[in-house]
Amino acid sequence: MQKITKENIQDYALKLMFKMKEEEFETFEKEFETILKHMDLISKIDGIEKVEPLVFPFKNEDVKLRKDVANSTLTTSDAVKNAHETIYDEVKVPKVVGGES
Amino acid sequence: MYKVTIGLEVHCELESNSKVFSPAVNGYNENPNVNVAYQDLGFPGILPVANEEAVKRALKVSMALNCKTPDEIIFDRKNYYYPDLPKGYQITQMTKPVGINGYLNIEVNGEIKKVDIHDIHLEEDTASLDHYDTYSLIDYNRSGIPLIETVTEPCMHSKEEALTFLETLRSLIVYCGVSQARSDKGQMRCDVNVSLSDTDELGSKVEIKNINSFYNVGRAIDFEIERQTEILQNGGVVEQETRRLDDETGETFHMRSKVDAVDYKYFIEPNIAPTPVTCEMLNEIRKTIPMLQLERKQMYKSKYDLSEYDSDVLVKVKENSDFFNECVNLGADPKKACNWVTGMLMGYLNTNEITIDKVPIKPVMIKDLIDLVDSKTISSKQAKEVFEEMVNSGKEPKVIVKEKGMMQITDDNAIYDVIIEVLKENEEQAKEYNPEKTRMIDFFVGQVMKKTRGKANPAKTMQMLKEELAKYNK
Repeated sequence: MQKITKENIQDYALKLMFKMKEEEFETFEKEFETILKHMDLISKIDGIEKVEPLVFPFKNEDVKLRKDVANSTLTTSDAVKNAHETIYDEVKVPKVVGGES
Repeated sequence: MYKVTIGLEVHCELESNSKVFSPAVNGYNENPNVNVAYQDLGFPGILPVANEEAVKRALKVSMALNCKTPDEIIFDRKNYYYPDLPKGYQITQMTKPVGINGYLNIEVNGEIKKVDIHDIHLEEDTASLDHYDTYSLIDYNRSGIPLIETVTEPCMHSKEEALTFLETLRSLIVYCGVSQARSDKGQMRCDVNVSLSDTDELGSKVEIKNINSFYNVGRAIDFEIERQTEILQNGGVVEQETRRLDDETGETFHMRSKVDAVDYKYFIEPNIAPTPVTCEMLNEIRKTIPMLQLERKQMYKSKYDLSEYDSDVLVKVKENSDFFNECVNLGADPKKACNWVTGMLMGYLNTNEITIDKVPIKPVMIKDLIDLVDSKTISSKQAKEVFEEMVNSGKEPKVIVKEKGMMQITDDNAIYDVIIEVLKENEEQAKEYNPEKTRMIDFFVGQVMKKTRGKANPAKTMQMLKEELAKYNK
């Protein structure tokens, strides 16, 4: 099985837009090694390649969508209560440029 | 010359009462952070539940785009960190979108072109950010508004095709009644992929993200064609990258290259259990899809023999086209109904800057008005007067005609008596009558109309006058 190297982690950190400290890379490297060992064990199970990935363990036929009714909105003061700082009820954050959609 | 290939990714907000995964109001509010629920802020401990109406509306557009629909509704997480996305991921669809492998016919320069749809998926909108000199502000009102993203195959080859596709898609969404799809309100946004090549293979894909108007889509395509042509002509290689459009200059600039492409680590959203999509549900939705703009236009031209121009005018706004269809269904002659709707009615709507639902006029009134003219009860000039009254008061044309005493005199004897009277009063002119001089006959018609207060049938009056005047000059 492929080893997760520091370079791999750096690459993912960049792609996932995380800034990481040097010691965090070391921790991650070690943690991934453990995880991969487990994966290696699992991959040795007989017939494992025929098992489909499982997302939902049970098929629930009773799932209903929500009726389109608007209610129970938060008040603005509650909504921004945990914000470090607000300006005119908007949440203030360090300047960000660019973005996704 | 290089072959231009364009693909589009079009986002459109759906209208509904509540948001796609939370019960907060889906609507514009100028006050920030008013329409927000726990889910929109990414607070823990409360789960998203998909909105039935948003799912149905997305499926409706999917079917209108001739897409294959899924057997169940499931969502995926698109992971990335950005302040407009409080959960750290966007709930979207990738594994089983609401539609795949569809198409939309568009009309470019009189020719029908089929634009292939790769997929259409339902997702949540992000919060909106306002950028200032040293900080940014977040308003979560937009967070969680249902959004459909339509992704085309790279199959368009000019700016014109791309813009026509956008207009046609916009019209489809509006015709389906799922959104007003107004780009000026930020309801429609677009990513454009442009590549140039002089071989059969596609060139490097350059994506221009988040364009806020069709006008700017056109500018971005123009700029990219020019920029990439210059690179290729100078023997260079176009880099596969993501760019942004500067609204002010109309130029695109580098945002990120392929090597730093974000890895979104998609996986199925485990917090929303799969909901089966039944045939019954799809059939119910299918019934609500109206005949679309292009089909209507083709029908008007082939079945009703209307002109290209008139057909275009009629289908531009669905409600106007519906109104016209109803007139015809009631038995009105299509050409006459078209004249009334595109002429007087739309003229009135445009002058007053209102929509048809604001006018107390019903299709049956247009039909009745046409009948009144056809039966020569009123003249076409009088019909215009009736129309003015009708559009303001909502009274039926027959009532107006009666109230105003407009019934035309078609009885030969009654008209004859008036003609004789007029000729007696104007004996001199009658003797000088010359059939070559149309102005003279107009004078006599005018006199008859004056005496009957416009009620004499003009055609009949004219014909009888000519006969009587001929006798005078024998």
